[in-house]
Amino acid sequence: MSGAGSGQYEVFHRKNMTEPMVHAGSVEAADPRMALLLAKETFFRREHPIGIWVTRRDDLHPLAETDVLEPGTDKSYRAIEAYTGIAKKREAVEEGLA
Amino acid sequence: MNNPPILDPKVRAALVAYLLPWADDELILGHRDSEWTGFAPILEEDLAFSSIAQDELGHAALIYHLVADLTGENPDHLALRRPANAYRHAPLVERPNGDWAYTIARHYLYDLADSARLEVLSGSSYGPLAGIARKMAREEHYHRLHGEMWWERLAAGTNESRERLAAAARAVTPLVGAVLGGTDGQEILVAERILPGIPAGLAADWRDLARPFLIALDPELGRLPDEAPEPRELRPASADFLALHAEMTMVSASGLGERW
Repeated sequence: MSGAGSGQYEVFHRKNMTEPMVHAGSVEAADPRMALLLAKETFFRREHPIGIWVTRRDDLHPLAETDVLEPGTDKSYRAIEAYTGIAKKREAVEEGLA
Repeated sequence: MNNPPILDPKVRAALVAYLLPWADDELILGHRDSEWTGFAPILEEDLAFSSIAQDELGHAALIYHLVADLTGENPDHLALRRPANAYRHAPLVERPNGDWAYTIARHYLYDLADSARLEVLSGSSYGPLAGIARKMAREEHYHRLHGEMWWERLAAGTNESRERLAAAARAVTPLVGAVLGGTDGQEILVAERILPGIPAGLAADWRDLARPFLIALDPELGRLPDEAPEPRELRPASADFLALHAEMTMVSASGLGERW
């Protein structure tokens, strides 16, 4: 297929209004209308979302410098898991002080 | 759909005569559409068109069940065990698929005729018929959007795609009206409001829906004669249909038994 709008389209959907749009996959299409209509049968033959979006893949802007996404130092204190058992730890510390 | 409303035998016979050709149209068109599975222009379209084929077969099943409720016959037998010369579908739906443009032109113009029919049948006084018509209309909405998308794409694509679509439209347009042709005893159904519309009215509705698309392709094509469709009559099975029928009924006729 050729033409100004043709190419890969990324497809998003949501199951209900309280859920965010989620990526479902991509379709090849000649324009956004075709992408929407073909996405319905490509991804939603069994699921029935309440809405679909498509966007041209060329209109997505990926970050090139993916290394900045990796933490350089230990940032576990930013994760909830780092705080499991915090009450017990505190008890132990308090006992030690007493 | 157990316990359908009790109908006078004459009304029942007229309703069966009306429903069978329609069921056969949906079955045969669905079968032709399914021949594209694995061959459609792109993978995404392969899925979409296969799904549409399944929808049409599903619609045929709804109508055969309605007939079966009226006659006590087996819906599977109605669909797949009748001899070729007992089918009553319109010539339009049995034609081989040809190219993609022919497939789209045939299916879209059929869908427009079917939409005109479903619109009227959704108001049928026969509850089970109004019920399936409304169910089918929901799926037909997608079919129409899909057909419109392809029609416009082929018309606005290359010279070749436009020419192929125009040639296909010239070939199929004269065959579409017959889909809405009258059936034996139809006047009884109209009087009972089981069919709240007459063939001439349905054909006019179809022309109104189709005209803009045909004119956009070729103004000459949009000059649809203002005439009532020919009545739907039993006709000898064509070579095209004999081949299709042999394939379509092959498994059912193979004697593998009916318990799966």
